[in-house]
Amino acid sequence: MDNQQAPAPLVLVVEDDDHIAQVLRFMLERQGYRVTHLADGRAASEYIAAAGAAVALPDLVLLDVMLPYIDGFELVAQARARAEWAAVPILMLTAKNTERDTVRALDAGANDFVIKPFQPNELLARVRRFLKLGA
Amino acid sequence: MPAPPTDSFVNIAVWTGAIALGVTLLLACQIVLLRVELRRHQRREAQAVARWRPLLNAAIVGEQPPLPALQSHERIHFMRLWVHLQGSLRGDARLALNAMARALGVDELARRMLARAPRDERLLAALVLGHLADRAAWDRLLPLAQAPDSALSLTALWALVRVDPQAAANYLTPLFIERDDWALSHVAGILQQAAVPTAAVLGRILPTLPEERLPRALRIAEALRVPLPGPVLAGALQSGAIAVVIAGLRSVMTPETIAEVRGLLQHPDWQVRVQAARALGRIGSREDAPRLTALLGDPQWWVRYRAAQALRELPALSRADMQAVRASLTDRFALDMLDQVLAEQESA
Repeated sequence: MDNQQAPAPLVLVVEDDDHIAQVLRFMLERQGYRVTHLADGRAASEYIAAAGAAVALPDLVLLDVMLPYIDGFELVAQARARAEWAAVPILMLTAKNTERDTVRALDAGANDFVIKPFQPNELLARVRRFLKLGA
Repeated sequence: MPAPPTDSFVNIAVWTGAIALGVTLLLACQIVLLRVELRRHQRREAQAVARWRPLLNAAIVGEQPPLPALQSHERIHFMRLWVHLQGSLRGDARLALNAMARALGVDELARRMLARAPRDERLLAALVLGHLADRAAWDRLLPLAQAPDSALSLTALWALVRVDPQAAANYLTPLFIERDDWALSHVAGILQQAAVPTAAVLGRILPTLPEERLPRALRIAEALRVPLPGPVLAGALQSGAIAVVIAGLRSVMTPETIAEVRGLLQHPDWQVRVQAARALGRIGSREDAPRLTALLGDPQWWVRYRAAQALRELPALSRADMQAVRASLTDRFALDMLDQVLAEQESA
């Protein structure tokens, strides 16, 4: 009898602030998720290009907007241009709370956004919602 | 063995070279020592972060881990990490961080640092006490708020507002009006948490301010987006000083002063007409359309532009109404301006 359990959902965290990235990793791993962390837009862009073949496609992406090299908006557009990423939920973390940036995030293809400073429990609830929908 | 040089110039050259070499070696030693000290500082910081980060993260997610004592060499690194996290989180996470800081005695430590630490540590202490909303630090923060050092004073002001928004508004609003060297954006950022009490204070003191102080006070109200009492604002709009009238128009947010605003549409100063048009766009009604349409023929470009934008912003003015306004225009400049603003709206 095959008792293999499905692996825990994989969350890709793209965040250049190391302290916040560690908080996110801690929160998500406490909830039983696996976490891959990338610290800049260039590494994230390479990951997006390689996902499915060389690296695992994540079940959800937590994506900061202001990143070195390539910003979050551009990364969302890159991801959505690839068929394998079409169904991956992307939550954007942004310190910008203007209407224009919200619209830009959603138009680019993000599923949701969280304004910084954020409430960890609220962020976790949004993550659970998207992972539940995808299950 | 050769005889020592006897010529004085040669002696001077030799000694100069020896001294230069000695100073260079001293500088090199200083650089090395600074580097060693920097690396030692970085190692200690990394050790402190490695020790306290898991505990802070646990507190953030709602756990209550047993806390070790905060060592003296860890204090500044802990406080920096703690302040950084405070700036990125809100809600229960912040409360948990505050509880952890108090349990470790960081509040008392920060209060002591306010009095006698170096400048950068006093800044850090003010930030910590502001995040803690530490009432006991109020009297120690007040003198810092008047410090000539702008960064220190603004940080202390920010902390005071977080400690007690009402008391801070009473004490600080007159100070903010006086200190022209404090950028309005900083002032508004600090007072955001005390916007309502600040509006009340402004409403009370505006009639008593000398004319040269009124524009700044009104700009503070505008930056905080707080409505001022109608009679107070009406007084500003009826002032003989252009700067006061302009600042007053920028603060108009309710129809209480609409009569005064309408009267200023024909003011001889074009900057007043610009702001009057903008204000009417915010508070006007359908019946103000003819007034704004008349301004589309103003000799000043900016007046025409703001009048066209205000027309577009008027409530209950439909697309058909705008087309009717457009059809009624005979002035080429007015027509061009309205077309431009409508095109901007389409492309937005």
